[in-house]
Amino acid sequence: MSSNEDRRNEILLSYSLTSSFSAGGFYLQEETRRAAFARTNFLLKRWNNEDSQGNIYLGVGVGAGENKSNLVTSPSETEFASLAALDADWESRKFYVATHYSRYLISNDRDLWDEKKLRLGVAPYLAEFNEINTWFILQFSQNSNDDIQTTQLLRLFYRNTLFEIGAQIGGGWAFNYMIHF
Amino acid sequence: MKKIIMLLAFLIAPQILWALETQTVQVKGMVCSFCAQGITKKFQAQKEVEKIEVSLEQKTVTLTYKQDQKLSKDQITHILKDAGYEVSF
Repeated sequence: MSSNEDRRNEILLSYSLTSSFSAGGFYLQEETRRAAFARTNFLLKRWNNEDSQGNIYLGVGVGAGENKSNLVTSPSETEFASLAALDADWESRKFYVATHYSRYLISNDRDLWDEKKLRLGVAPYLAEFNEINTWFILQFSQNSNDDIQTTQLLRLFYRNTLFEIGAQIGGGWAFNYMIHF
Repeated sequence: MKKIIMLLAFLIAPQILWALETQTVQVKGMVCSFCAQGITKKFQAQKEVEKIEVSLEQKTVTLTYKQDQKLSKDQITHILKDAGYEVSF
């Protein structure tokens, strides 16, 4: 799974050992930070309803990272890094809501930094398993105390492959993809 | 007439012999292709299962079994629970 915006890239490779536990690696790169983590994800709770499903996930990771105002002109030392993330989602075949909160620390940071995300999605038609699923998604995100960023995304997925392309209000792009093996 | 009956019997018999048993189960929480993909993968790993068909509209999984083979309700419940879903027969 990979999420990309013009000033941020992340990639998560994880292996599901059970339906409620996965482990893998996570890499994050921003303008002034980059970090790699060994990460585990836990499904804390799942609600299986007749027409919908809800989930709460916890992610924790430790690794190494660096934080400098300019990584290119002033390379920094690698420091201990950690993360904790909480995700909750609910989806039916027609609607989708997801929230995300994560908190990161690189030891040489003056402060911790965090990331918040809310996503609302609607499917314009109900697709079957063998058809292309389409979703229109509106995403609100905020990194620490930066301004809230609004992104409109088009999600397409077919069987085990998902793509999202998006445009941020005020400029900027987004491209995400996910493959389940 | 006897020849016609024998011919019909000859034509129909293999169909009866080859008609494989199917079973349809209702799956709670199966709302997207990723869910269906995971469930399909779990059933594909079972030696008794010949074919799997998924309907997100009906929220069902239809299993076609190999000749003289079948999964029990307990096995199906366990497989779906292991995949993170619930079944109702």
